[in-house]
Amino acid sequence: METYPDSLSLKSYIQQYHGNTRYVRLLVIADKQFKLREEALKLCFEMAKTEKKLYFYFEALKILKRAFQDKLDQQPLPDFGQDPNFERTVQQEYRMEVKKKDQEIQQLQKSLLKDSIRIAMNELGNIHYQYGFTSEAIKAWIKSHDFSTQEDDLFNISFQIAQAAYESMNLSYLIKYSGEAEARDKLKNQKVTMQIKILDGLSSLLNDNHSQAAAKFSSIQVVDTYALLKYISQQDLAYYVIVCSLSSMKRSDLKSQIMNSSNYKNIMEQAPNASETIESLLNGRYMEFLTQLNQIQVALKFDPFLGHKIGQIIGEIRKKALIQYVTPYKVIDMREIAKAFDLSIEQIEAEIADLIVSKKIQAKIDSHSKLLYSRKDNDTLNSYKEAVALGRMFIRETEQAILRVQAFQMNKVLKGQNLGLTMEPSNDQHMY
Amino acid sequence: MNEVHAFIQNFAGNLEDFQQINEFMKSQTHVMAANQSDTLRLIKNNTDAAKNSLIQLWLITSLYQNKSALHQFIDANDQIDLINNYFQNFVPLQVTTQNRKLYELATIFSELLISEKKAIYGINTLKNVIFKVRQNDEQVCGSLHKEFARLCIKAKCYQHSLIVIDHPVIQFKKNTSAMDILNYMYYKALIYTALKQFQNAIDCLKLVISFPCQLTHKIHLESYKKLILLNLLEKGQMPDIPKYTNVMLKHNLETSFACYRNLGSSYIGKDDKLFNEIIENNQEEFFKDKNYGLIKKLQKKYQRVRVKELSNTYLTLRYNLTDNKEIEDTLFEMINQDESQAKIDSQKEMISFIDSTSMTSASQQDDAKEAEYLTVIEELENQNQRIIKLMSNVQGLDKGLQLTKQFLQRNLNDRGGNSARDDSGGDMMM
Repeated sequence: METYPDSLSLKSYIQQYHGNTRYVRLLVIADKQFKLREEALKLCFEMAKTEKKLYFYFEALKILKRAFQDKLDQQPLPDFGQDPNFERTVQQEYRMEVKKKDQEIQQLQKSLLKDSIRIAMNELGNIHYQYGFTSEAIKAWIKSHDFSTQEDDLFNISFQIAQAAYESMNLSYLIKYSGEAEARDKLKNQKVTMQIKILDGLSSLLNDNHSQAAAKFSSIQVVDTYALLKYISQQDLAYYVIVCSLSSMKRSDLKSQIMNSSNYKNIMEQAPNASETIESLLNGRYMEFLTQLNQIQVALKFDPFLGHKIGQIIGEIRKKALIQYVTPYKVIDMREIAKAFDLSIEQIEAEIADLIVSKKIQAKIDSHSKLLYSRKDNDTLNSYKEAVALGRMFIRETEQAILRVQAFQMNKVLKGQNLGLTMEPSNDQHMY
Repeated sequence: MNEVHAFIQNFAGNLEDFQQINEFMKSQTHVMAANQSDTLRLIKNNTDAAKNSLIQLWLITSLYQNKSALHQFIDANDQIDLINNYFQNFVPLQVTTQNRKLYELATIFSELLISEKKAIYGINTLKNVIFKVRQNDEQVCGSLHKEFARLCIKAKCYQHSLIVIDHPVIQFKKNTSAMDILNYMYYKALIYTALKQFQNAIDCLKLVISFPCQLTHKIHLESYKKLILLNLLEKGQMPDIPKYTNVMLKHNLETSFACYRNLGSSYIGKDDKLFNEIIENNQEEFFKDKNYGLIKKLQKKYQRVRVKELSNTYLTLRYNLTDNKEIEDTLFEMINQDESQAKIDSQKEMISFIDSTSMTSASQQDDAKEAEYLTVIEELENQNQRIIKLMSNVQGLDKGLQLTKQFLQRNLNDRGGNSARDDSGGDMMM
C-alpha cells in the first residue's frame, strides 16, 4: 500500500494485515472518516461474522448507532450487514463457553491446585480473546500470570497480555507486559522476539516517547513478514522509524543511532518512496524531503497510533528542517527559502515569524526586501539571567515551604473554626 | 472598681509579677467593662502606658467589651488618641503574656481609623508597634501586619508600606492565626499590584493558595482570580496551581471561573475578537470582583505584547495601517514612551523597527553590557547569601522537628519494628 486507504482500496489495505489489528484499523477509519464509514463498517461486520469476533461486531454496531443517533426515531438503522441472529447465537455460544470455564475454575479453586488454576485461567483468557474481548482476556491472563511460577509460562503469558493490550490500545498494560516479555525473552524463537520488539516499540510510540520508539523500531530485524502483519506492515515500520526519529532526534543522533543501525537499510527497502527521507534532510535536499514527508503524512493519515496527530508531528519536523536551513546564514533571501520548500513567500514569512516569536531561531525579517538577518543573542548573559530566575524561584519556594512546615507544626491549618475575628478581602466570608 | 484602683496602687511599682496582674485583671474584666467612665479615669489619671503597659492594655481592651455604650464617655477621635498614645509608649516586654490583646487592640484601632476616614494617621503608629514587637523582619505578628497593610491600602500609601511588607514571611508569632497570615499576604499582593511589582504579587498569592487548609475560603477564590490576571500580565500564560495546594481546593479552583480561564486562553491564543468579546460580556463580573483595573491593563498589554513581538521579529514590516488603527496607536504610544524604536511610514504603509544596539556606539554598547553583567552578578551574589541563610533556617527547623513528640514516637515505633525483624532474622540464621 503506497497511498492512504480510499474507498476503492480499503479492502486491500485491510487485507494486508492479520489478526485483530484489522478490526482496530477498520473501527478507527469508521469512526473518523465519514466518507469511508459505510465501507469500513460493512467490511467489519462481514469479517466479524465470519470469524465470530463478537466484540468487534458490537463495537461496529456502536459506531453505526452513534452515526445515526439523530435519525433513529424516524427511520431504522441502514443495513450494513448487521445480523441479529448472529448476535444472539454467537453471544449465547460465548456465554456458555465462559460459564463452563468459570465453573471449572471454581472447582479448581476449592481443590487449591495452583497449576491447574493457571491453565484454566489461561484457557478462559483464550476464550475471551477468540471472540475479540481483549480487555476480558487481559483480566483472565493477568490472574493466570499471578499463578505462574515457571519462567517460560511467565514469558508466554506476558507476551499474550502485551498483544491483547496492543489490540485494545491499553497503554499501561502494553508498557508493563511488553517490557516484562522483553526482559524474560531468552531469544529462543526469532519470530516471537521480533513480535515482542514490535510491541515494545509500539508501547513507546503510544507513550509519546518518540526517540525511544525510533531506536526500538530501527533495531528490529524482520524475520517473518506474516507475524509482523499481526501488528503493522513493513511499510508502517519504515514510516514509524522515519517520523519518530525525525521528530525527536538531533542531526548527529540520526546518523549514529538510526542510519548506522544494521537493520535500517532492510527496513527502508520496504518503503521505496520514503526511504531517502532522512538522507534528504541530512544532505539538504529540502524539496525532495518535503515531498517524501507529505507522502508519509498521507499514508499515515488513518494510522491508529499516529493518525490523529500526524499533521502536528509533520509540522514540527518541517519547522526543524526550516531551522536547519536558515541557521548557517547571516543574511538570506526568503524567496530562496520559499523555492527550496516549495511554499509561497507569505507562508514562509509567517512560518519564520512563528519560529522567531517562539525563540527557535534568532533572526529578524526585513519584510520590505524579503531578507532574513540572523541575530546573535548574548548567551552568557542569558544563562546568568536564567540562573537568577531559577535562584529566585528556589528562594521563594523554600521560604514558603518553611512557613508551611511551621503552620503544620503549630497547628495553624486553616479550618472552619479558626476563621474567627478576621477581616478579609471583601468584608464577607464564604466557605465553599 | 475600688478593688481595681487599690490593686493598681499596690502594683504600680511591681512590674515583674505579670501572672498576678493577668489573673486579677481577668477576674475584674466584667467590672471594668460595666464601669467604663471609671475605667477611662483609671487609664488617664492613675496609670502610665510606659510603666503600666500590661494594666493599661487590660483596661483599654475591657472598654471594648461593651463597644456600643463607649461613645457616651469618649468620642471616636479621643479613642484613636487614647490607643495611639498607648501604642506610642507601651513597653513590649511587659505585654508578652498578652500579645493576643495587643493584636485585638490593633484591629480596633484600624477599624476606628477607617470608620473615621483617617487611615493615614495610623500607619506610622502601627509600623512602630510592629518594630517594637517583632523579633526579626521576617516575622508576622498576629493581626498587626495585616492591619498595617490594610491601613496602607485604605490610605493609598503603597510606597510607605514597603518598609514593613518588603520582607519575606517565614515566621509568625505564637498567637497569630492562619487568617492573619493569609489576609496579610493577600493585602501584600494588592500593594505590590498597585506598585506594579507583579512578580512579588504573584508570589504572595501563590502562598495564600498553597497555605495548609482544609476548606475553600473566599480569600482563595479571590486570590486565584487575581493570580490568573497577574500571571497573564507578567508572563503571558496561565498560572500553575502551586504543588502543595490542598487537593480539594485545587479541584475547586480548576473547575471555577470559566470567564477568567476563557480570557486567559484567548489571550494566549492571540484571539483578538474573542478576547474583547469575553471582556465585554463579563464586564459586570470583573467589576464586581474589583478586577476591572487589571483587565484594562491586560487589554493594553495585549496590544503592546503584539507590537513588541513584531519589533523583535521584523526589521521592516508592511502593514495596512488603516485596518490596524489600534496597532498604530499602540506603536505611537510605545515610541513616545521610548519602549520601542520604530518609524512609521504611512505613505508606503510600512514600519521600520530600529535595532537599539545599532543606535549606539561600540564603546557605549560595551559599557551597557558590562553594567548589565554587573547587575546580574550582584543579584546572584545576593541570592547566594539568602540561600545560605535559608539553609541554616531549614537545618534549625529540621533539628526542631527531630525533637518533636510525634517524630520521636514514630522513630521509636520504627525501631521497635526493626529490632523485632532483626531478632527473627537471627533466629532463622541459628
